[in-house]
Amino acid sequence: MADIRCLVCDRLNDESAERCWFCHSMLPKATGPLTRHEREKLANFYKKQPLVKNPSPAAEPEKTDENTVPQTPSNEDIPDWLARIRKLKEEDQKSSIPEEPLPPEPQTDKPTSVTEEPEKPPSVETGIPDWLYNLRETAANTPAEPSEPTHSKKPAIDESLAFRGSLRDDEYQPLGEEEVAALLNPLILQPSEAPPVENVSADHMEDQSQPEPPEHITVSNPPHEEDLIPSIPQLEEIPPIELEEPLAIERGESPEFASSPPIKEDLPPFPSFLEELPDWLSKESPLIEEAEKSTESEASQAEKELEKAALPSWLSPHHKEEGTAPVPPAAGAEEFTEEGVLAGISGTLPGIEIKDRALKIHPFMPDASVSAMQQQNAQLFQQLLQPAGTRLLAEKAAKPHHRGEKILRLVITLLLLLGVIYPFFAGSFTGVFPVLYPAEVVASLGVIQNLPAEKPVLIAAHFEAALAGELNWTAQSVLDHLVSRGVPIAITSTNVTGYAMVNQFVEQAAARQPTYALEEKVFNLGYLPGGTIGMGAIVNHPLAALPLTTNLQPVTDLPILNAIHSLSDYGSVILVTDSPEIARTWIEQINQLDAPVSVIAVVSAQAAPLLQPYFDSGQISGYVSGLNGALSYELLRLVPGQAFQRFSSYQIALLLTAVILFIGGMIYFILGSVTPSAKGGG
Amino acid sequence: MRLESDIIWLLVSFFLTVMVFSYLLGDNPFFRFVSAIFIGITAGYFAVVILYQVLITRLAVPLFQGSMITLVPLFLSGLLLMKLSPQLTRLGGPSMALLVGVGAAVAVGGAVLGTLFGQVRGALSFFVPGSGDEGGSAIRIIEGIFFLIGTLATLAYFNFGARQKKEADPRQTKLMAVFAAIGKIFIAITLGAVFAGVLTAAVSALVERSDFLISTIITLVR
Repeated sequence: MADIRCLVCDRLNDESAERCWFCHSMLPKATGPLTRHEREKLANFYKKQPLVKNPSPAAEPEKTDENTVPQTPSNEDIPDWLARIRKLKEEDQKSSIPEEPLPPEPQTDKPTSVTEEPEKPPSVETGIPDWLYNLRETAANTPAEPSEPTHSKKPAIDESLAFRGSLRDDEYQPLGEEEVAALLNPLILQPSEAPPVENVSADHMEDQSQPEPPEHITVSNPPHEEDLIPSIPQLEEIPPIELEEPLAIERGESPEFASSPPIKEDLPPFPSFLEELPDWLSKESPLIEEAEKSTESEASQAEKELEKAALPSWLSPHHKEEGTAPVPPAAGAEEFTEEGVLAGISGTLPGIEIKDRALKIHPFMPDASVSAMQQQNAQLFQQLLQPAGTRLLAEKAAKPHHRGEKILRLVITLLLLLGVIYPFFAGSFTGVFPVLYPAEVVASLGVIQNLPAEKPVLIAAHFEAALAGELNWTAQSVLDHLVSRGVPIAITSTNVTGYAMVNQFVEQAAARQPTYALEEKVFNLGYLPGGTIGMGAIVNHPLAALPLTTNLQPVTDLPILNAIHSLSDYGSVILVTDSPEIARTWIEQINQLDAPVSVIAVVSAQAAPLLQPYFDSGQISGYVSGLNGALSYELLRLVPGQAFQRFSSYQIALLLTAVILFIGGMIYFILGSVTPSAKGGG
Repeated sequence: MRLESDIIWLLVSFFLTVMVFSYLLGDNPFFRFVSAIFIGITAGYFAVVILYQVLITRLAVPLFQGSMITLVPLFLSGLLLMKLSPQLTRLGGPSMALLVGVGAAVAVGGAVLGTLFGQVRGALSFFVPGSGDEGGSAIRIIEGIFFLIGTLATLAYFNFGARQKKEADPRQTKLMAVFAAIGKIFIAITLGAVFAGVLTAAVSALVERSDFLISTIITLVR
């Protein structure tokens, strides 16, 4: 019998095979029979490895009817390789010390070794050897099996063993003992092994072109008839199987099979495995149940050992109610899925209905542990989301009328008013005037003092009506100075309110200086729209940005403004604003000019701290801020104005404010340290 | 005639101011009345100013004078009006993009060239000999060092980066922590100055209104 050794996996195949049965690679032409050395190895290996197999459904006929002895094929019927193996074994037994007989090798429900020779059978009708045919007949004569095992695929590895016997001596290639063991391990079933499962790789399953042995052939490998027959009575004496690894059995794999990836891949799903348990294994169902229980207990123990999540306190009640997932239906309660894409498929995991997944949101949680601060923040957030009117009404309804607060508010107001009014009627009190003048005010005075009388000054305003009173007094000193020097003034504003107010300031200043011709020297260029873009436009193209006066008179028709082609053509730019941001934007745009122009800012006191860096860096020539700056400017000019007259009221009001703030701060500090809750509530 | 109108406006201003001060007694109809008047007048005044200062002077007059370039902003303004309609709101995209893009470009350019470079130049000027005209160079250098430390410390305070260490929480380096603490002091002083400025402005407004009320009363009494 010539065999073909695969060049890839080094296994033997039938001479008729074109592709390797094991690795599906192309085979070379036929080789010789098994070498002598391999035969020896095989024989020694069979001696060492006790071929003990579990009783299987296929072996039950022998067990149930001991008198029925299967007729083994005669020596003429058996194939050559089997004959050689027998002969070798006999020789070994004769030459060596008598060993213990090999354990019985019962048949399994699946063929563990099929020496199929599809094109070389003695029997023409069936296409199988005669010895195999006889063996099948013997099985047919035995009492009928209750059910035919479904997993009756041929193992792949044992075939190599079968054909190895036909290797020629001249083609001897040393085969390692480990390799032989690897080849034979799947054939040898230990007492603790699971019932035979499919030992066919996925590739084998897919390759339908490969010849497969008949399903009913259940010949063990090798078919030691003399060992098989005496083993039948011994089947009853096999001790109960001790499960070494319950979980492995549950998965349908024995410890040995667990190390064999192809077997693992072809394992049937767990539920179908349980359903198809053979009788011999069903005896062990208590053990399996015990294993399941132990697994569950381990899982519950592991769940207990899990560290609990640190949920926020307010979320804990939610987690208690909503974190409990709906209990899925019990496993196995529904063998086949009746609906959905998995309809008709057994062993699928039970799903959870979508309607059961919906979280039930409970808007009110009476057992939620919410701190006072969290509650306050939630109320504040809720109030912010409410419309303004609703919020005010809610605040009014929520706040109790504290008579003490209202009285305290009135007392503070009266104190301030008294402090402001007192200097009006006390002519002797003049306050404490500063003796050192701020550098920015001095610089501003110097710039305006040095302005050429023919060059106009651009006044750019941007302020709200709330601070018009402060800016009026602050700008008054500067405007009076400009008017006194007869400097032409062009007015513009980047907001609507400022446009109206600054015009009034200039008119008031002009009214105090009768010699100043308001109509000839003051030009109101109106509102400059566009914000930052408008500022950039007026910096680069003043005539294009402000082409008309408020009287719809073209700027080019005015003799004073006719020569203005750039912002640098103005004698100075005076910013009147209450916003440091607007002042900064103006400064940024003006600083991009190639020919710089002096910039003076007349600002509210609240904008002064943010303008100081621009003065220090020289980006503005000076600034006058608030009543204090106006007073300094007036004192420098030696022309007292509104700031000088009301500075005493201003000082008293500031002093009272500072005292009230200090007392309030001390009270809050003391009360806050005594009652910590006041801080949280406040 | 002129005197009578002045007195009327003086009385109106006086009573409106008193109504605003009535808020000291809590929310009341007088205060709400004044608030409504203020909001209404502001809105109306704004509309009038826009009409006369923008639409007429910058759109209608140039158009009647034959300036065809004015059609471009007119067209863009028309597209911007499409934002009012949910179906045509996409047509207003180009105008909005132009506004935002040009605005951002102008603002960023001004911030970089005006504030960033200007402030850096100003900080360096303390160390340039002869740049200051007061106090001598030594004092200016000390002042410049003080400003430099304040600037760096303030920037360090807003640096929230930290280095990860093994088996320890990430922490700032000691040098950075010291600078951040110094920066906190500078920031507190700055915010205190701003708060004082706001308070001063409010007191100034109170003094100005009190002066107006007293002057009005004296004028009416006389």
